Amino acid sequence: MSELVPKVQLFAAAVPPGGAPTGPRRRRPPLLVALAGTAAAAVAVGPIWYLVDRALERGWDNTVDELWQRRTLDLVARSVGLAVTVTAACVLIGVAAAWLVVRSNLRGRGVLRILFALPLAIPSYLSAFAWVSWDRDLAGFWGATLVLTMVSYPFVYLPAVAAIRHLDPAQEEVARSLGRSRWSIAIGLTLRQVRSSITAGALLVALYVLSDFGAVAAMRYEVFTWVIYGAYRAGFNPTRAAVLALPLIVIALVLVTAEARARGRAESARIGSGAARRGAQVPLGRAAPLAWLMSLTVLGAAVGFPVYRVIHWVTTFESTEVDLGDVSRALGKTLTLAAFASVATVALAIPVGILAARFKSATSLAIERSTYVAHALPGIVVAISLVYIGVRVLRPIYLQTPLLVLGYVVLFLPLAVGAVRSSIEQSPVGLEEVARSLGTTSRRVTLRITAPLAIPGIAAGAALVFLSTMKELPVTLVLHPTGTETLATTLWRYTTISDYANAGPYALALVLFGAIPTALLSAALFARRDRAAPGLRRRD
Amino acid sequence: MPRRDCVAVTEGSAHKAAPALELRALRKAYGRNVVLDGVDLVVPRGGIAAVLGPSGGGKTTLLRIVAGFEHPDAGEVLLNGRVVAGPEVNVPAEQRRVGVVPQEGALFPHLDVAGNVGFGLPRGHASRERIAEVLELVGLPGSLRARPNQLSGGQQHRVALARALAPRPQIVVLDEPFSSLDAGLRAEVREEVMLALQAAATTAIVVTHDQQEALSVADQVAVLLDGRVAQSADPETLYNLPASLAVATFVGEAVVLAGEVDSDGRIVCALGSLIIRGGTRSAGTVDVVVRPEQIDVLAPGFARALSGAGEGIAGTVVSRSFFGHDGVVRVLVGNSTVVTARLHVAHLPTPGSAVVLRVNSPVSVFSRTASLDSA
Repeated sequence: MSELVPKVQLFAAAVPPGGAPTGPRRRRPPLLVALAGTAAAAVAVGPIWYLVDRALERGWDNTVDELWQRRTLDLVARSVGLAVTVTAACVLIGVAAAWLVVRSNLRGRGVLRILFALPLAIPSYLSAFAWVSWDRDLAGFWGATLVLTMVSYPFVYLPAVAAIRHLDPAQEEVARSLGRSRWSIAIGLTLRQVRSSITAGALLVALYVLSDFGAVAAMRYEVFTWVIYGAYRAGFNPTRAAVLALPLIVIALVLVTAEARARGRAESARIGSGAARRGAQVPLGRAAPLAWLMSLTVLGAAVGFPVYRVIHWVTTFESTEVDLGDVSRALGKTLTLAAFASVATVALAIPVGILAARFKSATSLAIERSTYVAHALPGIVVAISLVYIGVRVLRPIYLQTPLLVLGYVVLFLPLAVGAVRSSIEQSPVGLEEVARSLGTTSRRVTLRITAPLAIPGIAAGAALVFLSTMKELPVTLVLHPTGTETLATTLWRYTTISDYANAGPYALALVLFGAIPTALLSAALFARRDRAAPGLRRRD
Repeated sequence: MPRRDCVAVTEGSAHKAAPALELRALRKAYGRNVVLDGVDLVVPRGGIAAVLGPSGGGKTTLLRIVAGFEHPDAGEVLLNGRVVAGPEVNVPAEQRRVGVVPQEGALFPHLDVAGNVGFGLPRGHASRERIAEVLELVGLPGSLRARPNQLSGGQQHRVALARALAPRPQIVVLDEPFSSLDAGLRAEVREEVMLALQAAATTAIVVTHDQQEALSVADQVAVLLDGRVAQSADPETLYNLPASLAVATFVGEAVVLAGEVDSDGRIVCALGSLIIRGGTRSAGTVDVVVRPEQIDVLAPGFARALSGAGEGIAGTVVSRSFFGHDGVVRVLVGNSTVVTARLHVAHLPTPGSAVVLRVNSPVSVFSRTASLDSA
């Protein structure tokens, strides 16, 4: 089933046959669930609809004039150039790393397998500041390429690991019996078969590069997100930010659609139910030290260096007057916001997930998909659209906590809906029927069967939203209430004026409370589901 | 628990004569796809009944209607004489007391064995005893704390059965209960499950597409073809006296030959003049059903020595398959008729051998119009 908009598949499991081969239920959902689901869809789509409306408010001609400029072309060229370069680098690193940890006989590949996924947890702006504070000359295209490659190659690595693991070793054995060498098999057979998975991962990288704000801003490289932010900050021509967001939205939607199709192909290419046997390990021989050197270089640049820089900032500048009270206030504010965001997001995601998992219909599909629209949108675009809504419609809560939380909800709803949906699918209809045949009423069945089975997955989804909120930058930066600072905004403020002494404690707090728990959570989730999470999306 | 038993007792005494399950003219369609088209079935108390039919033939729908997961478009379901589903009645699944054992077991993954088996019981000491009792019954005593994912496929099945039996249901329904097990395990688990069902003295309905399974486990087999019960009978009757050509060919292997009834009331076909046992007969060409094991395969010389017992039909062996406990040969009779015969001998005749075939018992015949009607 190829879908227009990808599902967030973090928790997606093969749905076990529910013992109900008699076709989909055609029951009507409870009114409350249907209304809440519709409300969630409106929240997800509303801001973007409003943004597009804004961009076109002075008519098509004006919008076209605004876009039809030499500098727009430059902008497209720079954005696409960066995306292509980073994607190519990510494919090289991601595929090589995946092959090493799954199919080579490299010593310590079990540990490497987990470590290679870690950069997903490092906020891009943190990594960017780490590099640019070390060498100012890195700023620009190459700095942005370096940082974005290092934070986003796991998008290729994770699906590649899953795809290579699921290959049937019998195919390679057949190829060897037909006289092909191991290396020619690795290139000609293994790689070709996992091509769809890699393509899907590569498109996710491109999508992320286009939507990233923190790294390009820190590297002062003028691509769409950074220029949109600039146009918004200048406040001179408010429509310009909205107009500039249009081509970005279009490109992002194209990428998301292509990614969904590639992933559909990747899933359909898998024949049979899982190869029980693992493929033989390919001996590296004298190439082993080289493989280790490459692995350590990547891990050092992606994880080691940023962490080292943060520690360096904290320890070197200890004499400066860092107000630990400020740090703890920012941490407290960040945690509070994250708690609000995860509760609100999951609360809206639950009715959508119930509709999608249990009341399949054209309407429920439309509602579910509309919540995935934000999946394609860069955080800065979501932020700008909420600014317009805040200024024009929701004036009372503009630059207030509720509007910021609304922004997080729009951003993270896809994450939560995916988690809720697959958690509810964990409890197949067949189980509920058996429970009813044992004399349990429907309400008690929900309490005793559906809820216990779904809650762990929903809780993991909530935790993911919580941690993603902590690290989120563009929406927080644009919508945070005046006077309240979070870890991310304070770090941003100090680092943009190169005050790394004061930035240090905030960066450290972000690593300790944001990055490390994210890494642990992802590791736990991957361990549970031994499947890539191609829908996994970073937002920082 | 006491309330339940009480209900069971009064119901039982009120309808002593009523069968455990009765289906009357049951109809169910999904859109234009008519799955059940007037199903009538009576299952007496205490027995094991099998519903046998091809895959996708509405067997599972039948079970789901009995359990209360689906409502019939027309017709009635009676449990122990009480209407539980009908035009004006729809007793919800949780009040029907129909134990369900789904295809894959469907154990609750978040509960241990005791939690699964005790799911339909109230909390308390009596329930703990009941859990132990039914686990003993299914041959899994003492494995209370195990998790479903720690159990083998066969154990999961037995736990699922124990879970269904624990609240003392009026009837237990099993949906293709052994199809997910591999062949070696299937026979063993089947045996254990059937013994447990007999020990529990519960009426059970097993849905299956496997005719061997249906014939070997059930006291009564209902063949579900084209949305109707084509025949419901004990296994021997079903096999030896099928009600239609469709039943005859669906249940067991059959050699179908064209034949004519002669003036003596015998049937003349490619295998000679045979005695008619059952089926429908009429003038003109009829279908003759001969089971492979009804055909004796003799060496020509041996057949001559026995010639007093009736003349045989000469043929040539075309191919053979040896199965260990028995074997089959395919024999060309006349110009173009190939018949299959089953032999219980250590050595099968080789292809090309001349043999003599003789049918050793009466056969069933079906008039062609009748078989067309039922198809």
